[in-house]
Amino acid sequence: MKIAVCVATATGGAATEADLLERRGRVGRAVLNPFDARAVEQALRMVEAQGEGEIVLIAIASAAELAIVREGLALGAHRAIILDDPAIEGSDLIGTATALATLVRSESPDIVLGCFWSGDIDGTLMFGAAAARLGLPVIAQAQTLETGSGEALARRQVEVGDVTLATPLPCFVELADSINKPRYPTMKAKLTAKSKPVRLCTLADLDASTMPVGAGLAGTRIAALVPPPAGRQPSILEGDAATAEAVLNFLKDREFVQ
Amino acid sequence: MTTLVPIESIDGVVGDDSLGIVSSAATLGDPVVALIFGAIAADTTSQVAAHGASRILVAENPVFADPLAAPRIAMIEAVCTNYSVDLVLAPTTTINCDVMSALAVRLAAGLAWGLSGIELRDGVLVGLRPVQTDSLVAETVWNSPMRLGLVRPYAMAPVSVGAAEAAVEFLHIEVPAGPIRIVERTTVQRGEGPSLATAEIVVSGGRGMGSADKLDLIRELASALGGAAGVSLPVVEAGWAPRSMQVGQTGTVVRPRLYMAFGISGQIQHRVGMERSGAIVAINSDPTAPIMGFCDLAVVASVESILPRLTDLISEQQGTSS
Repeated sequence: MKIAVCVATATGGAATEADLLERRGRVGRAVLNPFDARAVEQALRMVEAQGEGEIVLIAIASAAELAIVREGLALGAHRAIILDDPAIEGSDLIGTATALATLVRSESPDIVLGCFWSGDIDGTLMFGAAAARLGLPVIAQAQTLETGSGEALARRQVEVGDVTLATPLPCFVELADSINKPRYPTMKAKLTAKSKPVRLCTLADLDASTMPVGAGLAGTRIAALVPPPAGRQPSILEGDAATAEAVLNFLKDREFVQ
Repeated sequence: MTTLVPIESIDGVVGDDSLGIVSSAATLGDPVVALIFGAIAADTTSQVAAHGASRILVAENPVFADPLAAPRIAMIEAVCTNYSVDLVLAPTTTINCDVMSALAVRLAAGLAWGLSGIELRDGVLVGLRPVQTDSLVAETVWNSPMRLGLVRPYAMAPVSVGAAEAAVEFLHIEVPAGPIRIVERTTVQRGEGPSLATAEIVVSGGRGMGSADKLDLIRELASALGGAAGVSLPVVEAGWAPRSMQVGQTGTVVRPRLYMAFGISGQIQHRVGMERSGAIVAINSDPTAPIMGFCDLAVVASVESILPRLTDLISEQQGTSS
C-alpha cells in the first residue's frame, strides 16, 4: 500500500496576516507540528500492521521548510515530495487544495492522510476540496482508521451521533487529533532521515502549470481586517487571589448561590 | 441574485442555526430558497417561511436520512442550476464541511467559512469572519460569480416575521448515494440529571482535568449547584465521558444562565457551543487559553486548587451535602 501523508500544508493562503497568525500553531517554521506527526504515525501503524507499504510525505512548502519534512522522515516515512512554486502564492483555500491535488495525482497513492488543527475548519475544507478535485471520496475527522480488502473503514462523529463509514480506495482520510499518540524519532532515525530522498518540484514538473491557483484566480479575498464588536471584559483572578472563595463570591454576587 | 439555504430536518425539526441563516439571507433583499433535507412535519414549511424564505424545496428521499455528503452535493448542484442560485449559505456542520468543500470545486465557487454575519455594502456582498480567536474580523468578499458561505454555528439569530407565504415544492430528483457507505451508526444517548440543553447552570470539564475519574469532581459541583455536567470534545475523544455530555459544535449547544469551564482551552469547537451563556467562569492554569478572553471571570489556577474546595463551600452555603 502506498500512503501519502500531508505535512506542513499551509491552508487558507488568501487570508493574509490574520490567518498567518492563526496558523502559527499548525505550521511551525522548523518543526513538524503535532498534527502532522499524528498523520505520519497513523501511516506507520498501517504499514507495520500490513508488513509492507510505502509512506510518501507531501507538502506545499518551500525549500526553507525542508527541516519539517526531514522530521517526518525521521519518524519513519520513506521519502518526500515538496511543491514549491511562486505561482501558488496568494491562492485561496480552494487554490491551495488544487495544488495539493496535483501533488497527490503525481503519486497516485492508495490513501491520502492528513491531520489538521481542529480549532479551525480550513484544514478539513482544503482536504475535502483536494479530494473533490481528483474525484476521490473523503472521510473527515476520522477517530479510528482501518484498511483492508480495498477499503478504508473509519469512525467519525457527526451532529446526530457516531458513524462508521467504509469507502473504496483510493481515498482521502482526514484524521482527528485523538487518533493516536505519535512516537518520538530516535537519534539514529534522525541521522538516517538526512539521506532519504526529497524531491522539490514546481507545478510545471507535475504537469500542472495550467491549474487554477494563485491570487489572480482566488474565489475569495479578505478586503479588510477590523476590530470585532465589543465582547466580554473578563475579571482576572491570579496568584493568591485565585481561590475557591473568590469564585464563590462571584457566584453569590450574581445570585447563583444563595 | 438568489440565495439558497440548505437545511437539515431531524424528525421534522429544523434548527435555530438554519432559521437564523434564512433570516439573515432575507435581509439581503433577494429571494431566499430553503432546501430542506429529510422528512418534514406539518408546520416545518410554515416555520421556515416565517423566517423569510420565499420558496421552500423539500427533498424527502430516504437517502437524506443518512449523514452522507454525496447525495446532498448532487441535490444542491441541481438546485443551483435549476433555480439560478448564486449564493449558498449553510450552517457549519460536519456534513456541510464535506458538502461545501466539494461544491466549491464543482461549481468553481469561492468559499468563505466561519462567517458570523453577512452584509450588502454598495451592492457588494461582505462576509464577516472572526479570526485570531475573535480578536479581529476579516471582511471577506467573493471574486467568483457563484459564492459559498459556511456560517458559524448559531451566529445568526432567527427572526420570525410572522405568518408568511412561500411556494413549497417536493423535489424528486434522483441523486447518487456516492461511494461511501455507513457500516454502523449510533445515536446520541441522553445523559443523567438535568438536560444539558435546558439546564440553567452547566459545569464542564476539559482535557485539563487530567483523567476520567477527575470528572466526578465536575459532576459533584454541578450537582451542588443544581445544574448539569458537561465536557469538551477532547474529553469525549479520549473516552473519558460519553458523547451525550459533550458541549460544542458537534455536541450540545447550551445557553445557561451560568457556565463554568474547568480545564477547557476554549477552541472554536467548544466556544460555539457555549458562548451565548449568561455568565461564564473559566478556571485554567494557562492564562493564554482562548477561553480566558471570552469569559466574565477568568481564574488562573489549577483545577485541583479550586474545584473540590468550591464544591464544599457551595454545599456548606446551601446546606446540602455533595
